[in-house]
Formats: sequence, C-alpha cells, structure tokens
Amino acid sequence: MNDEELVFNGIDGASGGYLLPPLPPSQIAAVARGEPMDKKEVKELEGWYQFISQGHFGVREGVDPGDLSQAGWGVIFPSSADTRRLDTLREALGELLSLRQEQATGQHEHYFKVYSGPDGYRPGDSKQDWLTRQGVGPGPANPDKVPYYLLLVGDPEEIPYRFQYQLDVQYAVGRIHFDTLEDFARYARSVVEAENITLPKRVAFFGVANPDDRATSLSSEHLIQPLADFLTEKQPDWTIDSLFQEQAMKNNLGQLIGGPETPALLFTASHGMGFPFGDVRQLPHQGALLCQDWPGPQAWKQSIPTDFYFSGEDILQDARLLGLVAFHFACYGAGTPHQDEFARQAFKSSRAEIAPHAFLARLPQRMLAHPKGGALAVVGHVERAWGYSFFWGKAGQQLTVFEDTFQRLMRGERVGFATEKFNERYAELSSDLSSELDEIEAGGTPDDYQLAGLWTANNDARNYVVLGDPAVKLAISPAGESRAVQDERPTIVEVASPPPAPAQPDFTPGGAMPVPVTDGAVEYLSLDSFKQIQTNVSGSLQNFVARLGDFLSRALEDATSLEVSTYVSGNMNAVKYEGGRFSGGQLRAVTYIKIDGDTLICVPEEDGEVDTTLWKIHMDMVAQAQASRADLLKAAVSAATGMVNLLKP
Amino acid sequence: MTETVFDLWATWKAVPSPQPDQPFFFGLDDPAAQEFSLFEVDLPAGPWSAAEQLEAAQTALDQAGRALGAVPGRLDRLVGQALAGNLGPASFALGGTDGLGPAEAELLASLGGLPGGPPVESYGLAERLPDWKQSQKEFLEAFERLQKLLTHLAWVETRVDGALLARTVVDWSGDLDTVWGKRLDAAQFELHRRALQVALSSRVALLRLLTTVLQATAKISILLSTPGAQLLALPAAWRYVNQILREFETYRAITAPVGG
Repeated sequence: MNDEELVFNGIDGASGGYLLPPLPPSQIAAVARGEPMDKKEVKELEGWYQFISQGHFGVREGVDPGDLSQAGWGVIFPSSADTRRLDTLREALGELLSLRQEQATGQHEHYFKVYSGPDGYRPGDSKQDWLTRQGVGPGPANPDKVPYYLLLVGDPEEIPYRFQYQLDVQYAVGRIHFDTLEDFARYARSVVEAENITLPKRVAFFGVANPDDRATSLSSEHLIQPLADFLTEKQPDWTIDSLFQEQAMKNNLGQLIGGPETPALLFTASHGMGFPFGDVRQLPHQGALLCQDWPGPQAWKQSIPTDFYFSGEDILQDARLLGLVAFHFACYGAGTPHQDEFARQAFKSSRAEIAPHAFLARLPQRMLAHPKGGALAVVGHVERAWGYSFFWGKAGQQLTVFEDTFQRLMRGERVGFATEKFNERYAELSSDLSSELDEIEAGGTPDDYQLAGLWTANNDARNYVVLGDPAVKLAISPAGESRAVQDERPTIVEVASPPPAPAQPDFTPGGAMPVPVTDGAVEYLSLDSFKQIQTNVSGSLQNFVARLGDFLSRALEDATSLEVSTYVSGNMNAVKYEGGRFSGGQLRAVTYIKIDGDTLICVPEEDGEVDTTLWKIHMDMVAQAQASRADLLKAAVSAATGMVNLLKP
Repeated sequence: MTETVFDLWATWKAVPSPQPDQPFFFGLDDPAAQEFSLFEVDLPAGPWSAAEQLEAAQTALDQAGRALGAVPGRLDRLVGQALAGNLGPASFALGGTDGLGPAEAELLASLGGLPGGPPVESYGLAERLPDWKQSQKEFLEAFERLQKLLTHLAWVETRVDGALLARTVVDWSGDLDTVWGKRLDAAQFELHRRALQVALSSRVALLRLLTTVLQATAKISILLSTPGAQLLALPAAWRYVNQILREFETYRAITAPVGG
C-alpha cells in the first residue's frame, strides 16, 4: 500500500471515475482532529470495549446466543406506522413472527417482543432513548428486558441507520424493508422454509481485481484471497469455490446469485456502484457490484454500463436463492444514507445530500424477497467501504474480524451474533480514536497516518449492517449432525395473493401507497418509488428552469433592440439560414428598432419606386414581431416564476 | 389515455391533405442538431378553404385560452369542497348535481395515490388510480419536448399544396427574418402572415398551458399534507389540465395529432 495516499472503494457510474479520489493521510487526519466526537457515545463504546475485551459476548453472561429461548427475539416497528399499516405488515410477516415467537418463548413468554406504537422507534430516538423507554441502561443485552436479537422493520428514513449502528453494538440487529407487502411475506416464508432445508457446505468467494485499480487490488490480495486460504485450512469439511480476477465476471456472479452455483455462503469483494444525486440509476443500481468486466480507470473513462455491474435487476425470475447468506464488501452494498457521511467532514462545511433520501440497496432487497424463495440475510456496508476493514496501515492485513465472522457463520451461528466482531471492532476503534485525540489535545504529536487510519477505520467498522432477520443461520447440518442435503435447491410456495388491503389506505409518510394494477385490484407501491418519481420530476423541473432561464437571459440581453428582415427568393429550396441570416435570398427590407425608440428602416425599391406591396407585408411582420415578443416574454416569465415557486422547499 | 396533451409534442407533423374535421395542422418536428422547433403548415390550394382553416385554428386557440382560464376557478371549487369534506362517491358521477366533472374525479383519484393525499377509497375512487410510473414517464417526456419547443428557435413554414410560400425564423429575442417566394400575390402573403400569427400564438399558448399547470399544482398541493409532495402532484395537474382542454375540444388546435 502506498503510504502517501489512501484509496477508497466505489465507482461513480455516471462519470466512470472514483467516488472519492485517493487522499493523503494528512488531509484525513485534519478532519479527524476537527471532528467533535459524541462524548456520551464514546464513553459507552469505551465501556463496551472493556467489557468485550474481557472475553464477554454481546449478551448477558450465561446466555447461549444460539438459543432463542435464552437470547430472545423482538421486532421493532416505527411508531409512525398506524394501526392499519401495522396490521398489514404483521400479517405479511405472520409466518416469521409465529416461528420466532414459538422459538423465543420456550422458557419465557416475554422473550418474544413486538415493539410498535409508543414502544416502537420514535423519530429522533437515539439508541439509549429507546432502551431507556424499555427500562434498560448501558451494558450487555438482558433478554429479560429486551431480547438480544432485534429485527427493525422500516426503511432508513423511518428508522435511521444511526439507530441501527448504535443498537447493534450491544444487540444483534438486522433490518428489512421492501416495496410491497408481498415481498415482506416472501421473505418471512423464505426464513421459515429455510429452517427445514439442508444445503451443501459450500462457500464461494468472488474477488474482483480491476486493472490499474488499487482498491480492488488491495481487497483481492489482502482480503478475499487470504480469507479463502484461511478457511480452506480451518474448515476442511467445506467446499470452497474461489472466483478471482478474470473469473470474477458478471455472468459468473449470476451463477452464484440465484444460478446453479449458488452456495450456502457467498462473499464478494468489489467496487460498489455509486451515482450522483438525482440520477435515475441511483435508487435501482446504487450498491450494485462492479465486476471484472470493468477494464479499470485507465482503459475506461466514461459512464459505466450495466454490462459491467450486477444489480438487483440481474437476478432472474426463476433464480434459486433460498437459504443463501451473502456478504458484500462494496460501497453502498447495503444502503445509502441521505447525506454524505464522509465528504462532508473531509471537504465541506455542511452535510451534502448524496441521495433524495436514505435507502436500502436494491440488490440485497431483491435477493431477500425473491418470489421463488429469498436469501436469509445479506451483510453489507452503508456508505463507502474502506480498505481499513482489512488493511491496517503499517501493520498490514488484518483479517481477524472477517476470519472470526466467517468461522462463526460456517459453524452455524446466527448471523447477528456471528457479525458481532464488526461491532466489537467499532467499539475498540472508537475507544482508540478517542484516546488518540485526547493525547493530541493534551499536546501530543499527531501521527497523521495513525490518526487517519483510526478515523476511517472507525467510520468503516460502524457501517456494516445486517439486512434480514439477525437470528437466521446457514441452512447446513449443525455441528455433529449429518443431515441429507437437498439435491436441488428448494423453492417456496409462491406468495400468490397479497395480504388483504386495509379498509382505508395508509397515507402516512413511509406507508405503502395504492396504485392500480391491470386487473383493477389495488397494488401497494412503496414510498421509495414515490420518492423516485419526486426526484425525477424535480430534476426535470430544475432542468427546465435552467433552460428557460437561459432563454430569458439571452432574450433580455437582446431586448434592447428588435430587428425584422424581409428577403425574397426565386428558389426557396436553395435558401439557408446561417449565422442568424438567410443566405440564398435577396434582402429587401430591414427594420431596426432600439429600445429608446430610434428606428432604422431600409425600404424596398422596385425600379426606383418603393415596392408598396412588399413594404406593407414587411411592416405587418414588424407589428407581429413586436406583439409576439411582448407576449412570449410575459408568458415565459410567468412560467419561470411558477416553476421556481414550485421548487421552493 | 390514448389522446392527451402529451401526444402534442410527440406527433405533430405536417399533413398534406387535411381532413375536414382537422382544419389546420401545425407540424412540429425537432431537428435537434439545429435547435429549431419547426412549425410547418400545408394548406389546401383553394384560397377560401386555406383561409378558413387558418381562421378555425385561431378560433381553436382562443377557445383553448378560455379553457385554461377556467382551470383556476374549477380547482378552487374542488379544493374548497374537499377541504370542507363535502365530497363523496356520488360527486364523481358524470353530470353529478354538484357540477364536478370527470376531470376532477380523476384528479382526486390521482392525488389519493400520493403521500399525504386524500383517501381515495373513501371516495370510491380506488379503481381510478393512475399508473404512476406510466404517468410520470408520459409527463417527463412531454416536459422534455416542451422545453425544446420553447427554448429553440421557431422555424415557421407555410406551404400551399406542398409548395413553400414563405419561411420565417424567430429567435429568442423576437428578431424575425422572413424569406418569401417571388411572384406571390397579396392573398398568399396574407396566408403566411396569419399562419405565422397562429404559430407564434400557439407557442405562447403552450407557455400559458405550462403556467396554468404550475398554478394548478400549487392549488392542488393544498390537499396534500406531506411536505414536498407537490412535486408529485405535477403530473396529476398536467393530466387534469389536459383533460379540461379535451373537454373543451379545443386542444386539437394546438396539438393536431397525425391522422387525427
């Protein structure tokens, strides 16, 4: 790794360039020194780090995190969901809720919880606000009060990512959100069905290393290849498929995500696609996985075509994904925040909006809610992913977190527990960063490289999230058992009809919106879709305002005069309009009127006499030009004013 | 919706032999490379019938102006009734006693699909909900073409039975250059003069249509409780104004789709 500059994952699909250029450590270190840390948050994270560093797990001492009757399971809805919406969501998720209720209440009824209404997530809640309402303070999860496994149901506008990050430090947290109630029902059914299937113990590694690209060279060389080697040695009963570099093509990824080669566990390391605010591809394609098909930044300096990346739209209708757990190391692989969480600190004084709203990546959404049966969980990154996840400055590659996580997953541990290592790392890094900054404040000499690394690694570690139920686990034979595996990956019984629509649709923000389908039934469209429409309309309007403004500007610049010219031609087809004049015709009359009333007139003559017929029609043209200009400018100003007013927040 | 204002910018084309019920056709092409908006009219050879078509076109434009002028009042009434809670399923029957027509019914149904919009099912309107993605697509396409139309040079050509009489280019500042064929008589001069007048009037009418839609959007947004949802109401307002123009059966004058 070049000590002079830090490189980042993520490619701008519109320009074909990097989402962030390589940066010198001094620049990032300056940001880190200037960024105030939340004292309460840091204090808690430090305490948490001390706790885990003594060998404790996220859940209270003596509790087996693999047993839901000991660890508990709960679901958190946004408090903004009214009764009707809540009822439909609970009905759509009914199969999953029943399963988890049965599993969690084996010993205690209260180990299964549904948090909704006033107990749900309230807008503005911090993690501690919410926990306090449940009667819980800082410390390890105590299922007597709040279950260890917690599923958030809602998009990141309703339940912000930050709440998920913080709650995830102590608890095993996952999130689901889908466009339709059918998708919720499909995911619920998939989790339930996957409890009864056994897949071959096969893990696939898909590692991209695009030419001339340092970020994917790093992830290929120092993350995915050594991780595959490590697991090959440590998990001899597993089949490990590695598709690296030239094998990491888009069509091969299709074989692994729903195709015949779909494993039980998939790990991908690549750039994630990013798009500018307002780009129509942003919502559907942001976080899509850029494959080896991209020839790299030197050979490709233009917009990235869909042929180079794998998005949710590339998952086939008949894909077989049931039981899959996937981990995508890629920028925006799990989702995108509303505002830029890095660049605003590094380069800007105010937070820049990078998307019309926070949203989940479409690829994992599509994977989880596939009609034939979805994946169980997708672990990924919100915002940009960083090399510091696995490469720690002068110490070189640091794979322990990944190694431990994968070993836990391959042992059949639940996903939310298996990924605790990332949260522990977040707590550790926050603690270290706080100490480093304190030392600098006390007069210590800053080590830019160390500080930049800590700061980026801290941000990076925080932003890994689980999409899906955190209590899912790989559909494999438990340790010590040898179950018969399915020859062919099973599918779920199709969710044929949506849960009944509420008597009256829910129009609250975040609620599902009714739209018609061809048979006249009411279909529910998500707020994301409406926001996309809103973004498109806004973009079109802004574009129109700009063009109309340009038109008006040019018109007003020239409004100090009006020029009317009259030509005649014996061959109309030969006449051309060039440089603001007709050529190929004979100029017979010109009128030039200045704003102060001065008028210059060239009168047409015929045999020394004024051509009265032509003169009359020329003067008619002059009158028409005057009237037309006044009407057009007036109408254009009115339209521009209307558009600007509409765009006002 | 098979015939809408959206068709306007997609299908304008000169028609050599206009049908009796389509007395006047402005062809709008979009030679984007030259940044011209082409208004092309091909009139029949008979001077009287040509003049009649121009007259009919101007009349239709005037009617369109009156239709647009009716929009604010109709919307005020709709919004007032909606806010007062005086709307019910019966309100949307054609010829209903309250005087609200199908355009209002469709509008209200459209709004019901928006965040913070009125509850359509309580009005019995769920089956009228539009396909939002399609509606948005149509709107954006029309909007794009409208931008080109309004911000490009206007290129107006008058033909009689296929023969080019005259051509006028009007730039952004209103400067106007006209080239006439030699040996034209006074009646032929008059045809192009009036054709030019109708073409430029239709351009202004389209701007007024846009302004009306924007004003309608602002009024409609009163019915929406979600901040920012007024942008979503824009396609609905566009459809609503279009429908009123159709009701007046005048928008053909400024749209004139190919083949009627």
